[in-house]
Amino acid sequence: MELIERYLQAIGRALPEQQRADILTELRSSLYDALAESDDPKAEAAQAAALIQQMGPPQQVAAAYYPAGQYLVGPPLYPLFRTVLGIVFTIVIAIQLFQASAGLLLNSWAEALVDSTYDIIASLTTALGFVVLIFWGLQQMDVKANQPEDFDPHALPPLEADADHVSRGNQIFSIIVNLVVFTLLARFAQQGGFTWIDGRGFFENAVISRYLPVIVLASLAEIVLDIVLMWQGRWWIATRLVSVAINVGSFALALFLLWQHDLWLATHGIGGILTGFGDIPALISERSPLLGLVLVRAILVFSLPVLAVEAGTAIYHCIRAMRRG
Amino acid sequence: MDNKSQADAYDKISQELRRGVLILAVLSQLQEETHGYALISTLADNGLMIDQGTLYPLLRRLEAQGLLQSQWNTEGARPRRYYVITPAGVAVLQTLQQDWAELTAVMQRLLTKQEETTNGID
Repeated sequence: MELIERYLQAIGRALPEQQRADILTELRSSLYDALAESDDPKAEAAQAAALIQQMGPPQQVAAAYYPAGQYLVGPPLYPLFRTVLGIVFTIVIAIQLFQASAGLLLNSWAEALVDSTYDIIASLTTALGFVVLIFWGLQQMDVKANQPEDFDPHALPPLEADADHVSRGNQIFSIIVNLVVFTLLARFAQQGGFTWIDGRGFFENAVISRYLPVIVLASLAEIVLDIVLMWQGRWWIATRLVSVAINVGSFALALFLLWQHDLWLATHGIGGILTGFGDIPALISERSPLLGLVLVRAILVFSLPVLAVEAGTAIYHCIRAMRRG
Repeated sequence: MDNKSQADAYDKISQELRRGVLILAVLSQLQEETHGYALISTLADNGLMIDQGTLYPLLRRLEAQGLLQSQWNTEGARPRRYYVITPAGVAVLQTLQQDWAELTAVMQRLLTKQEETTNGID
């Protein structure tokens, strides 16, 4: 009966190779036994179709013969798989951020940003593929993750601190740092530039001057958030969202200011960031007004990875808080 | 919960309940050599429906665990694989029968208690 043979062929394609012939012989025998003898070929064909329908799709029938189910990474190995993946992703992201920082020094910032974004995505995808491949191999070899024979309740880890609790110490430190930045900005606004500690030398920064209100606003927003958090003593979804907005905004602002510094310095004959570093001794000895922009540009370059990590951390905590509900 | 969701939920739970007793049912009927299709018919005659896609993989798993043994018989019109319970399978069957007796007694008590509570509320 052609229909039965087509069904068995489809099942056979999905069966383990070693047992294929044996299983198909048994199923064939059983299926033909189930078909009532009929002189009418049409009735027999209809009965065969009904029988096959009842047995189910060929892949489903074949899957029942796999001893551990058809898992890429089975339930016993999955918790270990998740742990290993988390560790690998953390290492890959850290390496890529370090390379991105080096790229900012060596290339134009725009080129470095595009390259590093592409590199992070490509690296994470490759890492995921390798980890899945390794664990698929372990799954095929039926390796089981080590489970403790005797479970000791007293060895359980201690309770985690409330994830939404605000550490007042952290907030006070953050407020102090932001107040220092705010004071420097206020002094900059008053004097129109930076001076050395000894008061000698005066260095303007046309970019900071132009965007001072935005920078002050960002600094003030952070101070206000810190004060609110200190007052309330814990995070709420609203404050998490505001924190994400401030951190992402700070990163974007730093990136924008870096771009503006690059443009301004390029029009005044100062090259890329590394070239700019080389010019610093000469600029210092000449008390050059360009020194302010070169130094601020260097500070922005080193602050970008830090701001990126802070923004990522804020987003991560916000998503976790929203999942907790 | 609408009727369709309720029917789906019942189907899933009912399948799990039946799956739990299949091994006991299969082992109990393989004291003598029997092939798969005959076993399906025997179980069906006694009210336990099982399809070939479920039975044959189960027979193979029980054989891999040493509870059954099988051999091909090519004398008839078609080659058939005959299964019979092993001494290890007999030991497991006896233990399962005791477990089953205890379980049905426990369930009988629980369900009787639940029925009394329901009647009491009514």
